[in-house]
Amino acid sequence: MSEWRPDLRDEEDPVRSALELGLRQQPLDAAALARVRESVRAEFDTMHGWRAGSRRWPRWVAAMAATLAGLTVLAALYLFQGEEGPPFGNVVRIERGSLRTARNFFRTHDLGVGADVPSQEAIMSAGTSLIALAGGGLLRVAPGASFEGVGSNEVVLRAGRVFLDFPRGAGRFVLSTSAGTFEHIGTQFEAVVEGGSTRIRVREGAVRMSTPAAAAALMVDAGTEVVVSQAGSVARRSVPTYGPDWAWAESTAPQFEIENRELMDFLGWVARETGRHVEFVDERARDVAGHTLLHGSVRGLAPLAALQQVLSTTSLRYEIHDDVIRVSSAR
Amino acid sequence: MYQEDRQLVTRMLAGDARAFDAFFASYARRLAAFAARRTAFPAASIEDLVQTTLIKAIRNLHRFRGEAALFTWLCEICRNELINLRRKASRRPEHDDIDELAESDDTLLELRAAETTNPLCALEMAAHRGAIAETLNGLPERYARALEWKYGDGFSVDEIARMLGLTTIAAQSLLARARVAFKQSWPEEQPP
Repeated sequence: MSEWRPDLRDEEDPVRSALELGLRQQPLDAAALARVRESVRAEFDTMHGWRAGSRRWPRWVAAMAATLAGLTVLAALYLFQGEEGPPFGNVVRIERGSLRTARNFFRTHDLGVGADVPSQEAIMSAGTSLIALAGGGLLRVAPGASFEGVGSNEVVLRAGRVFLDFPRGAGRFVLSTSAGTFEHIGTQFEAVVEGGSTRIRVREGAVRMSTPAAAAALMVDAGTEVVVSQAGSVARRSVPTYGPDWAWAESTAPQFEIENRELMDFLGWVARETGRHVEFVDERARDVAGHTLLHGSVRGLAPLAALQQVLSTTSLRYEIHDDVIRVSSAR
Repeated sequence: MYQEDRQLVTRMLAGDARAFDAFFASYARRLAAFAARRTAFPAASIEDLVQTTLIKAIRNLHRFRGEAALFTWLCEICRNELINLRRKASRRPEHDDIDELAESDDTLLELRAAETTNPLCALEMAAHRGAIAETLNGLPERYARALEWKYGDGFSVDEIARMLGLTTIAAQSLLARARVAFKQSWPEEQPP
């Protein structure tokens, strides 16, 4: 080994300057990193973390924290009652952060679970939030997202990532960004606004897209991603409706209360939340799913983790192959 | 070797949330930079790529044996994802993203010049980064990797030594040789 050891800490070193200028890049801003962190953390919790988390916090601490949070929310709601716009939705869940409305520079307040989300006000999300829309459907909001409700059937996304989920037959709802408008047609889709461009990924159903540059509306079908650049150019490609691309959406799935629900309903929920469909390998499996009533709770579990927990208490097995959850009887 | 990395992974496998925080804080930004130096994808795609890489890493943590540094292992997963992306892109006849596909024909495994959004310095910066990438790609892989870690990712000499399985002194020597090799290969009309 050579004994020659140059001083690598030389601040005037031109090689160092050239290399640092050429190599140091950070393509992701804090909001993007927060989104990635949220998704990866959800995966970590599902794979490794949730068991440890439940060990560390005794139930009475969680109960006290929940009570305290509830009292705080009530106090906040009491203190900040005022002349707000008509509700755009209702807060179902907030995790690891806050949902803040800003009527003006001096008047901001945090929304709590159960609070109405006013329209005509800028709303910033510092955590992951789930909002039940006044006109039906759910809006999932990632950390760093900023948006504003316009009445009860339109949201303007200024920045960040959201996921919209509408049941069949839901009323008209439009998501607007600087790139154009996106109207759901019975669908689940994700929208990301970043640096002037808008990316839409459709998981189910279809989205009708209108941009200032396009002469006619464009239909975006399930399994398709469209990126509208700041300059207005449109790129389209196929994407799977399942897998890591949707990890964030899965991690923010609404809770499914299994108590006294049929296993078949639960399987349908898992399938929809993971972008897959259920196949029964044998008739007995279908029969068991249709006649088994569930008890207990899968609160706090992501859909696939919940599936594993629930099916382990039945005589059924499952395997996942791409977009199929294959359920079979164990015998 | 890689005892610290193995300990971190063991703690994560046990569900230690603080270990996850340390893991994410150490590697997410560096992985994004690693990917950005090798592709011309927009930030949203880099975000997806980093997310996919880290999720796959979390799912396969139990497979990390500590035979290489954790960051090297993550880069390998990221590299495979980049290859998959290139394959998918080449199979997409309906793709009409001219910018993205035109760039995706470039090699995804070697360093490449990055985009810049400031039109005033775009050409100059792109040319500089392109020259840096070209020069590093011409160096022995070990030299290029050490220089990238040191000057691109901000790893300390101790960390580089750990990742390469060397003593600190040996890593310093390797860096010194790499810098000399880089300087000799750097185009004369663009003195560093």
